[in-house]
Amino acid sequence: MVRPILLFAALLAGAAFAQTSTTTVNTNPLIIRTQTSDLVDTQVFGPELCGTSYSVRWKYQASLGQLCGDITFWATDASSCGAEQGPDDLALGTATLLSLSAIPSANIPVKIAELPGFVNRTLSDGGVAAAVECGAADKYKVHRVCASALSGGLTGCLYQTNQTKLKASEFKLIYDTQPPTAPVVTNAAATNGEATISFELNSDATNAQTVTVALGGDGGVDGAPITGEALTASTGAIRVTGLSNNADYSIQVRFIDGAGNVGPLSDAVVVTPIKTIGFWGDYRARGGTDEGGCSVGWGLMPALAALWFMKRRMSR
Amino acid sequence: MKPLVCVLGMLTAAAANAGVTYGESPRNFMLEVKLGPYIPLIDRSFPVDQGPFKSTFGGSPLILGEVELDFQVFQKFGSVAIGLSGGYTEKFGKAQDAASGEVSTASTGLRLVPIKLLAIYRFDYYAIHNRIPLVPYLKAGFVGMPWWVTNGDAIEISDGDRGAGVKFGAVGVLGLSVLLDVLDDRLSRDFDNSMGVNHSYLFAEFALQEVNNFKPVTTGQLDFSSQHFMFGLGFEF
Repeated sequence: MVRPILLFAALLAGAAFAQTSTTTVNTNPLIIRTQTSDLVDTQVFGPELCGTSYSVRWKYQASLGQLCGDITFWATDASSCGAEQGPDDLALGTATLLSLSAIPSANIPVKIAELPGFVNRTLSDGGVAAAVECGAADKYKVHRVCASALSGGLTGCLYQTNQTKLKASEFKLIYDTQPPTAPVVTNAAATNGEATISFELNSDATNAQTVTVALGGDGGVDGAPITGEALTASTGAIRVTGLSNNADYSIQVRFIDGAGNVGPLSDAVVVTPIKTIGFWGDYRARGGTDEGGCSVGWGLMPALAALWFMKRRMSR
Repeated sequence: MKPLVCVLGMLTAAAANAGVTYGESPRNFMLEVKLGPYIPLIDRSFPVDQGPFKSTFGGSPLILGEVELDFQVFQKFGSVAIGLSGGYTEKFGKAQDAASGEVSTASTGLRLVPIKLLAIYRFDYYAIHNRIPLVPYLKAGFVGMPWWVTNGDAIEISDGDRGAGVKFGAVGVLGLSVLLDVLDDRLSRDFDNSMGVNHSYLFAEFALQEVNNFKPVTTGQLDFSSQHFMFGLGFEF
């Protein structure tokens, strides 16, 4: 009898673990993340950070792999982190192998204005890199904070010939002052005091923090934006509640991305919420007498009496 | 009729071949998983062809799913158990345009969560001791049924009353289980040895529910009573 219960509990625990582990499993022993979360590997920012330092946090987990040398940190505007710092990258310091057992995690301040893509510089190949001005409008620039160290892999650090460079799980710093494009509304359906607006997602929209809706027409305050309740941001639908029935609403949608850039409004669609009667209203309209709630009164007494009787029997 | 007789004959023959008894693990529980068609008798308290259920949802039944766990308190001659079951069912239809009375694009839904406290008697003496693979059983108990009605995505409110609540009632069940162990006795023993499941059953049962707050049927009640069949699998462990 105990075994099936244990098996059932194990299945439940397994299911629970499987659900949480989809976002927490990280097999890389060296990660770079935000100061507050091991899950967040991207920071989108605007001009407000240009004159400041932004601290990321690195973390080494020896249980996931053994390092055999110092960790080197750098920032790059290349399309990916290499195994080693390149000549055009910004050095961010090192963490010595000896210190790792005592300090397996620490912050690295990154001076935003000194990031390679924000600095005019002559490249190692003789070319000139055209810098993006930090603070400029309508720009999009990705930097990566990278790290690497020698790793022994499965054989440990005993044999130098087996050691390879381990790349850390990188962190992205994205300067984004480009507003998202206007959404394309694909469907607008109004029901009882509410409307559901469906729209196409674009690459900006996947970074969208909020989707706002502007209401116009004879039912709404002209052009005043309200924030609707996003039903499924990933599939592109938003629900606007609190509308008046039998009034025409002109509805436009816009994206606001993760850096706070406000996109233009979509084309307007007109919807007219109507009062609808569902099953409950139909039941009442046909003479239904039930008022809902839990008004059982004395009707529950037989069940309570049975429970009391069973409790008495079992306590003997 | 002939196919039924043939199946029973095969099961009995298999039972006869099942042979020696073995030291099985203790059995204390029965877990049942079942599905069945369910039509609440809401319309019976309305004039013929004027019931709100058929008007909104049509005549097709809801599909009710239930899980029941019984704890056996007596095993001398058949088994007596107390059980708790929980289920869920829902049905969706189209809401009406309040102005025109026409069917609108908005949906309306009825959701029910039947919870039952049951006393159960299974006549499994011959199944356990003589390997005759049929186990008739009876259940009786009380039902608590939380329910709610949605119009669009929100709970519907009509004349200030929320379309949600709990109904109570009583239930009686008559069922017949087929002991599956006789189909492969070795497999059933392995199931017991490895997972502690002594017996597996396939069953069909007829449920008679009066879920009307223990009141006589009068006009206009929201009556979740029903007479329906359920089919499922049971595991005794």
